[in-house]
Amino acid sequence: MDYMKAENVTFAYEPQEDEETFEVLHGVTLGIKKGEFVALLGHNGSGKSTMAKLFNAMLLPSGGKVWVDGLDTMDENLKLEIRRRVGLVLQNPDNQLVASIVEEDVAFGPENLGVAPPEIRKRVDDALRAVDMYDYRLNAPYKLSGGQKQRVAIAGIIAMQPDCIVLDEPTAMLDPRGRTEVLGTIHRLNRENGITIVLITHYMDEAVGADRVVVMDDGRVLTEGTPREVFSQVELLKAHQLDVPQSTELIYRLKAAGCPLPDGVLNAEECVAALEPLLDRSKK
Amino acid sequence: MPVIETRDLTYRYGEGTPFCKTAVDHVSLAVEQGEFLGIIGHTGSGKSTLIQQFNGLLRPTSGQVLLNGKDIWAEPKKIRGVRFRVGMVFQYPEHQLFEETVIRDICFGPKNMGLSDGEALSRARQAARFVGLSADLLEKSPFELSGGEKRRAAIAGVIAMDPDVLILDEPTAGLDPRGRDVLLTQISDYHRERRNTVLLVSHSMEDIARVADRVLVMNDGKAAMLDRTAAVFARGRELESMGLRVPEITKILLLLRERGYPVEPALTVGDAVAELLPLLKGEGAAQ
Amino acid sequence: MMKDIMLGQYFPGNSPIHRMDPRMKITLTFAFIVFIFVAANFEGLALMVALMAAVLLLSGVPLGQYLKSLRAVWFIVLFTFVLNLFYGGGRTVWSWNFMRITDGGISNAVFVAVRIFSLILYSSVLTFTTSPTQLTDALERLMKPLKVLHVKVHEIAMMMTIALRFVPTLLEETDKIMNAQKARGADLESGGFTQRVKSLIPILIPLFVSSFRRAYDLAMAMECRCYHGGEGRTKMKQLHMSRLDAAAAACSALFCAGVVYCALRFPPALR
Repeated sequence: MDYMKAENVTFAYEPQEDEETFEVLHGVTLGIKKGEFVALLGHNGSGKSTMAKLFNAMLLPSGGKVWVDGLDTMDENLKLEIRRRVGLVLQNPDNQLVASIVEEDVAFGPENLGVAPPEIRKRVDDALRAVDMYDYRLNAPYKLSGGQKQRVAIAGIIAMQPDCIVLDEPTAMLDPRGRTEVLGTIHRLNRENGITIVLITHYMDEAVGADRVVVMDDGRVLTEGTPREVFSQVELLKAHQLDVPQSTELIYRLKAAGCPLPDGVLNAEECVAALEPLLDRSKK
Repeated sequence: MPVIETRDLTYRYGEGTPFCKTAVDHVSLAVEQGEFLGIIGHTGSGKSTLIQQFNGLLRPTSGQVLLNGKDIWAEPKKIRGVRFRVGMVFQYPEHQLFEETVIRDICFGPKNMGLSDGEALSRARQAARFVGLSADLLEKSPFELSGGEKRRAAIAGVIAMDPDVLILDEPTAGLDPRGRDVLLTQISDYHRERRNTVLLVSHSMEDIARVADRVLVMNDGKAAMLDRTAAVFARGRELESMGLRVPEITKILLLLRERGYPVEPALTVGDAVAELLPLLKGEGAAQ
Repeated sequence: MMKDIMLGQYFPGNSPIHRMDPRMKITLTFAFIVFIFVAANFEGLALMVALMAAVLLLSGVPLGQYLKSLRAVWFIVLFTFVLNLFYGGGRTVWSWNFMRITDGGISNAVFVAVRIFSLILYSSVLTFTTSPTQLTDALERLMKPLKVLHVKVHEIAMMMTIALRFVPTLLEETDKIMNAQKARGADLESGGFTQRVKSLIPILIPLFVSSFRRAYDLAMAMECRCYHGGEGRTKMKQLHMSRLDAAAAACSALFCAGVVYCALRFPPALR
């Protein structure tokens, strides 16, 4: 049973002035199961960010339907409830933080939901601990690093006790340390708290850690499956100008040159493990 | 003669306050004319502070910055002139666009240099060509462009000044793999055609491995390494201890080398294939 | 660093003044300022000054900071002082050619100077001991009655909160834009007035554009967190009046009554 479902969704932005209607999604069908960690991979312009906003009713489909836990996103009355259940974290860490003090920003969500003040306090503390930012609760946002700000933004979503968090390229503006912090946080939330994660990214090394990878191109789903299944389809990905991890590419090219090597290599360690036996054999 | 040289360069923030921090700590280095130098380092290692002293945006606390042998602060009033010869593209440069049309924005730098309208225009067109900005975009408002186009327009704005040294601070930040690829190729082509010196600050080891001749590694304000790219990335363990990593492909070969296989750490997948194929085929190639 | 210039700098602390309910602080500051003008003579003014000295000492903020806040107005005070000095009434104390200083003039000048200083110092106590968030919270609650007049109290408070949050961020961004334009040869320092104003365009336009973008992003982020206006919103941080506030109110009332008494009992200072 899917927690979130997109059924044959098409989407076009409102045309401006005398421009033509520009369709961004051409019939996407996609299901997300509860507790899954799904990576949505694609170019800028593939439609992946649009999908993100369709899942929490920020955008409504032009055609087809989007369901969240059985609720239809087209229903005006259910909008707030859907957004409580499906949080959305955006790319720019700065432009998500509303208050001048970290703990007050994390409280913003529950305050909007009308949660009782003592309960808000508890949720804020728990959320900050979950993202490892409790020590910074009285700090001002402008003094934090990108990775810290993004974690505060995530805490702000957790405080609303969502079932699922969708993150639209959350690490695109971060340095390597920030990326590691944020990714570590969302993996932990997925593993330990059972929160469903939909990670929208163009970094393959982030997709490699997911349960399932969905590749989008030109407003459609190109392919999906486990990271191994997806990244093994090197030709398909390259034909659509998508990248694969360097390890995967190396094995692919060596295979093409005639070496008997396995499919589905995703990182350096696996690559070395795959090459060693062959190198040993050739030495003899 | 090196095009840029620093002698015992030091920069301290907040001197005299309890928040004093030495961002650049007695750095002496030389950048050769015509080279493509990559600059890497953990956040806070002093990379940004270092490069901002190359074009005189920051004045050294002590030590010297020499451009073609001459101290850039010898005549402080003329420091603006240095910025035309050492051009700098900041991170997310599209945030600097402001003019009514793209071409006018690209002309901003040349006009500040005192060039005539005609000269500035021709420089601007050439710069636009370098970054692959098609002519039909030039008359549009910069705010009508896509993200990638805006970035290229901003970079063109600096290239149009025709600097002897071009410094780029994370030019591919926020771009998707296709966008990165295109931009790096353009920068590389520009460097080859123009034959000036390019400095590229980046967190992407793969990018650096692809385009840089030499790499400068900054660590805690000091210049920890400055050597040919392959030599720097061969020191994988050291880099890791500084909070840096090596390109994935290099890591694979380094791991193999550690286990005793006679391989050189390659910088690109192509090089790695060339390294490994003979060893794998050995005698008796598989079908 | 530009971003360290905070409007009405806040010094965190745990003094009695810090611990007071910000609504009481705002109300009392307002009252004090009014009573500074009600004080008609030096006797009354002395009471307000004594009160102010007590408050400054209780606040725990270094006196040097208060002196700094006076620096901003020293020129106005000097100007007013000199003006009053030469245009008072009463007995002439000193003269040279057509300029005269009278005892009335001296008295007026001192009186006005003390008034202005008191005004600044009372406001400083408020901003030094109350965080921007507390101030906006308190203002929001104090303004609640205005809802009856269809004033959008919650929205105004929300705008103030967001503005305060983004001031340092925008200052940082201004720095970055200035650097980027300087790197392209922009000259922000030289030239006459018109020249300098023109040279601000490459700074202001990008700043405006980015601010609009921020506003758009922020609005979206707020909606994602179920923001739907002020209806049904609760607040994590509640404001509570305590005995401290009651005591402060009582003391202040006493002083203010004293000021009125002095105004009625003693002759006025300004002539």
